Amino acid sequence: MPSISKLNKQLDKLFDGQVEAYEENDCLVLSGELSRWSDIVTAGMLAVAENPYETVVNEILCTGEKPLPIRKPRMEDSHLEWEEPDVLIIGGGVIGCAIARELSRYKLDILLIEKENDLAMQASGRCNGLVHSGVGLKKTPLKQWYTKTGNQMYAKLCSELGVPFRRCGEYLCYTNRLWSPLMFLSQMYWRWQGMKNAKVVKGDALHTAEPGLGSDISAALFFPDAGVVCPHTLTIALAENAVQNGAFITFNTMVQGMTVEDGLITGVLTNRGTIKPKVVVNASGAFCEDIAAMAGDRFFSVHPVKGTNVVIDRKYAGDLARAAVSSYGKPPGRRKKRSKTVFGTVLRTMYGTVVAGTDNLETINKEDFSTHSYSVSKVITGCKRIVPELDEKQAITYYSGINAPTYEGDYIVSKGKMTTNIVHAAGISTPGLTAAPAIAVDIVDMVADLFGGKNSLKSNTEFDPVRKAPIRLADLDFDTRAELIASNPDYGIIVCRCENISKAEVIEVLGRNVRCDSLDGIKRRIRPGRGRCQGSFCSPIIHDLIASEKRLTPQHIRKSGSGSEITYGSSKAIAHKKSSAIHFSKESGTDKDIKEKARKVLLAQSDKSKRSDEDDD
Amino acid sequence: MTISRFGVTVIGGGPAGIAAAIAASVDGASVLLIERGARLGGMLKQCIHDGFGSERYGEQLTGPEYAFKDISTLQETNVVVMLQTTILDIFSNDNIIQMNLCNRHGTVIAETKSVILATGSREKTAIQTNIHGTKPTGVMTAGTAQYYLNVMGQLPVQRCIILGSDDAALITARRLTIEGAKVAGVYEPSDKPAGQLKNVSQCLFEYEIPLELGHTVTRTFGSQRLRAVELCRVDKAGVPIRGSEKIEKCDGLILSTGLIPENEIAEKLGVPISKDTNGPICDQNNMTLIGGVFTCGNAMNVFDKVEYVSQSGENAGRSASRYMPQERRVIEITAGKEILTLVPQYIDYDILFGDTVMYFRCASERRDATVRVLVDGREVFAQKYEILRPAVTEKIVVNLAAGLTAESNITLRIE
Repeated sequence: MPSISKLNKQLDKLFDGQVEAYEENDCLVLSGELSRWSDIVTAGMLAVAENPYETVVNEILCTGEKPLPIRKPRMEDSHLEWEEPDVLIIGGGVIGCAIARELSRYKLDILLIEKENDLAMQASGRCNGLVHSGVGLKKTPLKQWYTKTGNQMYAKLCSELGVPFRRCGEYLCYTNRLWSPLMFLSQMYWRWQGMKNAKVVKGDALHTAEPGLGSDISAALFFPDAGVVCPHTLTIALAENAVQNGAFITFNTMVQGMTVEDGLITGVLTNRGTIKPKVVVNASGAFCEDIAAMAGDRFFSVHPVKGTNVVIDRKYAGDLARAAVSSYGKPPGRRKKRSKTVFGTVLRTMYGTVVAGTDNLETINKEDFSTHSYSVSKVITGCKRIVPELDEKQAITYYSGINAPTYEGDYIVSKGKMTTNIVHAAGISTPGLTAAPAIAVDIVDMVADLFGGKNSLKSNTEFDPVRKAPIRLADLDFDTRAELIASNPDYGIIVCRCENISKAEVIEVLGRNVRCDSLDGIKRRIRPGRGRCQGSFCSPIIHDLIASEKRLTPQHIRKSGSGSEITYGSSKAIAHKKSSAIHFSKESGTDKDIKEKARKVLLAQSDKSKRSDEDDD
Repeated sequence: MTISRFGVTVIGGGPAGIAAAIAASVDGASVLLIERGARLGGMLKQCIHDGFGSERYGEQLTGPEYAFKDISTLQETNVVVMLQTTILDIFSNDNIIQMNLCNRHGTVIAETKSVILATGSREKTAIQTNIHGTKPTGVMTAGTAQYYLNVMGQLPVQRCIILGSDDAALITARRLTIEGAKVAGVYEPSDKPAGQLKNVSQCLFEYEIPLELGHTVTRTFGSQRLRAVELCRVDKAGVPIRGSEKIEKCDGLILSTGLIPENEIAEKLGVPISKDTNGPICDQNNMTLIGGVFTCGNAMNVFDKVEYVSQSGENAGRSASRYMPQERRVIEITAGKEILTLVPQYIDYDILFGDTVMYFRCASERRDATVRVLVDGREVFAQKYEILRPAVTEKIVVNLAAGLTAESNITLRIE
C-alpha cells in the first residue's frame, strides 16, 4: 500500500529532510527547497509511486537554477476589457483550437486567447507530425484512450478541414536482435496491449517497404493506423474553421492573473484588459499548472521535457524513410534496467522531407526552444541504429520543442476540483496532436455540463465543418496549374524556389480569417523558407510582399512576434543621421601597397595569437 | 498549352547564363534563356561595389553596370528571354530534353536539343555552419543582407558580427559600415582570411573593423531579436575549443561561410556531381557526363571572379550550339592531392580544338610554386606562381591537342 509516511521516509533519506509530502485537497503535495531541478523531478517521480491519491502537486522550490523569463507580449491595451464571452479558451495550440472548433457547433460566444503572435507556436508546432497509433501507452490509460480515439477521427477531420493527411503506418523495429525469432510473441504482446491490428513484417517485405532500414533489422511490427500530418497546418485549419463558425481569436494576449470568488472565476486579467468569461478552458500547454494555480485549482504538476528533431533535405529523404520507423529498446545512455521504450522515430513528413527525433531532456524551462549540438548528435546516433544512412550533413534545420507531462504521465481532462467554472486539458504531452480531436469532444461535454447540459445549449445551425483550404500549387498537375494562372497570373510567379510557392499563394494566406502577417506565419502555413536555402532567397521577397499587401513600411515587418522586426528602416535615412561618425578616408597607394599593408597587419595578428596560444599552455 | 522548340536552352540569367546565351546565339543556335527572378543579372544586381570587369570590359565596373553591359549585348541577339519563369519538371527523351515551365502567362512546354545549367549557387545557412541556439531575427546570409541593403535600401542590423572572411563577407562589412551599422568584428575559423588581401585592407582595416582569425560562432541567443552570439576559438581542424567561449552582444549575425552550387535540376537529369567542386563533372567543352547537358558558372564550380564565370558561360554556349549526339571518348585528368578543385575533370578526345582552359584551386597556401600539366609524363605546360592561395581560383590555358591519344594520361601537379 502506498502511504505518505513511507514516501516521507524515502524523501528524508534522499534529500536530508529538505522535502516534505502531505495531503491537501485530495492531492499529494510536495514542498520544500532543493537546489537542483533534476532532484525536484526525481522527488516528483518518487511521489507518484507512493501516492495514495490521484495526482501529485510538486511545489518544491528550485533555489539553484533560475528558469528563463516567460516570453511576454509587448502589447498593453484595453482591447478586451469587459469582454464577457461564454467560453474563454486559454492557449492557441492544437488542443485549444480543436476545442474552439468543437465548441463552435453550439451558439456560444467563444474567445480564444494566445500569448504568442501566432498559433501552434509551442509544443503543437514543434512536434514531428506523427499521428500515433497508440503503441506503448498502456500505463497511461487516459492517454491511450484519447490517442486511439483521436487517431480514428483523423481521416474525417482532415478531409473536412482540407488538411493533407496520410495514413502511412509505423514500423516498430526492435534493436535487440535476439527478439527477431520471437516476433510472434511480440505481436501477441502488442495485441494484448490493445493494438488489435499490429502485425509482424519480416525480411524482404520489410526492406522493400522501408529500404532505409539497416540490414541487421530482420523484422518489425507494423501498426497500420499510424499516420502523418503537418501540425501547423492542422492547428491553423482548426482555428480557421472555428473562426468561420463564429469563434474569436486574439494573439499577443497573456493571462496575468484571475479573480476567484467562492470557487468561481469572475475575471481573467490580461495585458489587453480584464475578461469576464462564464467558463474558462485551460489548454495552455506547459503553462497549464500556472493557469490552474491562478484559478485556485492546482491539483496537478507538470515537468517540462525538451526534445530535438532534425529535418533532412527532401532530396536525400527517399531512401531513409517512406512511412514512419521507430526503434524499440533501451535508449542509448539510459541506465535503468527496465526502461524499454519507443525512441528514435524517423518519419517522412507530408512534404517529403524526413524528420528524425527525438531525445528527451528534463529541463526547468518551459520555453527554451534553442538547439544544442549534443542533442542533435544524440538524435542522429539514436536513429542511426535503425536507419544507418542518416547523415547530419544532410540536415536543413533542427528544432526543439517542450512538452510537459504530469508526473503521473497521464492526461488531465477534467472539470475543476476546487473551482467550478474551469475545465482543464492539462499535461497533454506527446502524442497530444493525435489525441486533440478526442480530447476536444470530451472537453466540450464538460463545458456543456457547466451550462446545464447539452440540451440546454442551442446548436449553431450555421455550423459548417468544411474549411476552404488554401490552394497548394505543388499538389496540382500541369493542366490545373495552367487554368489557375489564367485566372490569376500571380499563380505563375514562383517566389520560393525550394518549395515552389507562388506569389498568389502568399497573398491568399495573408488574407485568411486568422491573422497572419509575419514571415514565420507564412512559413508555418505554406512553407516558403522551410526548404534547403532556409529563406536566404525568398525572405526579402516575401518581406516586400507582406509590406505591400498589408500596406506597412518595410521596417514594420516581423519575422515572428513583437520585437522581431527584420529591418530598422531606410538605411540612407539612418546613415544620414550618423554620417558625422563615419570617415570615408581613402588611402592612396598602389594595389601592391595595400596588399602589403594587409599582409603586415595579418602577420602581426598571427604572431599575437601564437603568443596567446603559448600563454594558454 | 504551347510547345516551343529550341536548339539551346540556358537555365539561369546571371552572368554565366547571359554569356552562354549570347555565345550560343552568336554561333547561330536558337536560344531560350530562362530566369526565375524578375530581372536578369543574378547576384550582380546586389553587388553594387566596383571592381568588376577590368579583364572583360577594360574598366572598373559595379555589379549592376557589368550586368547592364552583358544585358545590352544580349538584347542585340535573337535570344528568347523568359523572366519569372520556373522549371517545374525536366526530363530527357531520345536526345531531346523537355521542360515544363510556368510563368505569369501560363504553362509552357519547351523542348531543346541541349541545355546549359547556369543555376549559380546558394549560401550555406546557419545550420550548415553548425550554429546552434535560438532562431531569432537578425541571423542571415551575406547575400540576404546585401539584398536588404542594396536592393531594398533597408538596414537589417545595427551592431553585427560577420562570420566568414571571403570577399562577400568583407564587402558586406564595408557596405554595412557605410550605411550606418556597426560591424563589431569579422570572424574567420581558419588561420588565413578567405578573401583577397586587397579587400581585407580596403574593406576592414580602413574602416577599423577588427578581423579575428581562428574563431567561429557556436551559438545564438535571443527569442525574438538576436541579443548575443557565443564566439569560440577553433583548433586547426576547425573544432571549437572548449573553455574559449565568449559572449558578444549584437543584433545581427551575417554568415558568409561558403557557397553551394545549386544543382537540383542537374540531379533531376541524372548528371553526376563532383564531390570536390559540388558541381557537375564536365569536360573541357563544359559538357557534363550526360550528353547535351552543359554546365557553367558557379553551378559548375564556385569562382571568385565574375570574369571567369562569364568565360565559362561563353565556352558552354559555344559548345552547346555545336552539340551533336555522338559516342564520347573521355580522358580523366589526374589531379594531385595538392589540388583542391579542378574543372574540367575530363577531356573529350574527339571534340578537342585549340586551347583548353582549366580552373583550379590549391589545397593549401604555397609560395614560389610551379604548376605543371603532363601528358604521358611529357610536360606540356608549366607556370610559376609567386603565391597560390586556396581562396583564389587560378586559370590556366593549355594546349593539349598535340600528341594526345585516346589512351593518354593527363596530370595536373603543383610543385
